[in-house]
Amino acid sequence: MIGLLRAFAILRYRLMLNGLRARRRDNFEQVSRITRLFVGALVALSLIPGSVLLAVLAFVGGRGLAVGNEKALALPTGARGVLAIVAIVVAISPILKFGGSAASTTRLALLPVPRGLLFAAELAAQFADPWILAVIPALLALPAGLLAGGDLGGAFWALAAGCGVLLVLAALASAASLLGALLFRDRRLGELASVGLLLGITLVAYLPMVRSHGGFFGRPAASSAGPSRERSRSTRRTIRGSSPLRGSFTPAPSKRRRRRPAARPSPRSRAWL
Amino acid sequence: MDLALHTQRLRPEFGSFVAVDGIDLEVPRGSLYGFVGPNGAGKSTTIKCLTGLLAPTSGSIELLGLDPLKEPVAVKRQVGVVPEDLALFEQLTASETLAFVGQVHGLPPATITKRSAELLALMDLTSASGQLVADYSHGMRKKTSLAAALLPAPKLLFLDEPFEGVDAIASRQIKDLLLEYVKRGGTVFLTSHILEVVERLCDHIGVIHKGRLVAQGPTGALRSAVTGGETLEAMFLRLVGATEGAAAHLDWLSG
Repeated sequence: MIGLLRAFAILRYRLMLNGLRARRRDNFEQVSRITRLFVGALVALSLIPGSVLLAVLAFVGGRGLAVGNEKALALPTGARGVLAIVAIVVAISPILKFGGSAASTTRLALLPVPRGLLFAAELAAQFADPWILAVIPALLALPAGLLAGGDLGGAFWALAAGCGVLLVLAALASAASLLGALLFRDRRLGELASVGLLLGITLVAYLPMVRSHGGFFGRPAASSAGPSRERSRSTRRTIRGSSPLRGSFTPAPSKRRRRRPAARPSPRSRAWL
Repeated sequence: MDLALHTQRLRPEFGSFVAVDGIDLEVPRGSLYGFVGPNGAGKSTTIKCLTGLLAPTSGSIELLGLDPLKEPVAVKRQVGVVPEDLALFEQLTASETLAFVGQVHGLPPATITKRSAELLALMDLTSASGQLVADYSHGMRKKTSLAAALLPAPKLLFLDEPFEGVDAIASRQIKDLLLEYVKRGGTVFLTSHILEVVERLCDHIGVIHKGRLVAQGPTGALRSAVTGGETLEAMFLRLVGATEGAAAHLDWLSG
């Protein structure tokens, strides 16, 4: 068993190392390789400080929670946000980067290795995913912070939950890899899935805009009775309100009035037609 | 008869499509068995079932006296495979590929080094052993895959189209190697479209057509029984019912 795991570890190491090696191919491929290296370096450069920052925040927040600091109450919300983003990235990235490894899957299936061990090795390999690696220090720092604050029980549960989250993320990445392998076996299906995924991501990126503008095509999102009156009341409250930040996001009534004619151009403005 | 491979009513299905329709293969130990058939006849599907890459819908398989569905690891220890897609890691060199296969089979490092060096020399790959497989030609890849299959000294070897896309020199090397392997007691099950090679190389033949095994037996006996001693090509064409002289209709090709 140890020999098998050692063989798989060496395989992963060699594949990673050889992936950085120059191949005697055309210039286009060299550019592609350099771009890949550059992107990898950029991701590493942004992830390492990000990971350290998250770990520090988790430690300070955990300690704050343990000693009853009110400001630390924002920690669970922040942690949920970070983990949600990591989960989405982990689920999407294997599908996007997949391609061409079906042959190696066949090779693994031909080896005298129990299927269960192959799945376990695949799952374990997901812990090397940079996005999962980036959250590991934070997931360890949170129980450490709770422990430093004197909450032993909380630290234990945070550690257990952290391990659970790591397992879920690894399983998610593994499932995404499997899905990618199934989709990309058929090139046409794989291309369709890629296009669908990219379109989906683009549409999701528009969601905040749609929410802030009240829906597609300018229609209000909320359909409760008297939305316009309610909105005008809230606008007035915001303008008169004490929060300067909230007020700054709401256009003044005079500005809205000025915009309305531009939205409906006069017949003269269409003279070129 | 001592059989290395024996299937009974082997039948893989894909939904309503029956790829192979209940075939009974009998491959004697120490034989070089050629499995031939037209495109889409079910050769690769059969080999995938036999090597554990595809689970059959029904039927049984016995390889070297073991059931690969019940004891897959024990069977895979004794079987070498060169699949259709060659199943190589593009980002490994030939030496690294052989080292990985040897490690997974639990061979001692000294044995891996010795066997790898001998196989690479035999395949004429020693000078290229440090290059990545991604940089290899198709023939070099095929030889690397064959070396990886032979490294653990299997008792049974499966080769899916071993002569397709390789030059005359590589083809000769592979043929010599297979004959030597069989002489030493190994069993080979190969599929090929090149009937001349199969006729000269294989002592047993199975012909599959539209998922059904239409003929099986020793090459000479089968040829005599079907065509009265004509070539394998004539026997094959008769068995699969192909029409000859189709080119006669293409009179516009006269130029």
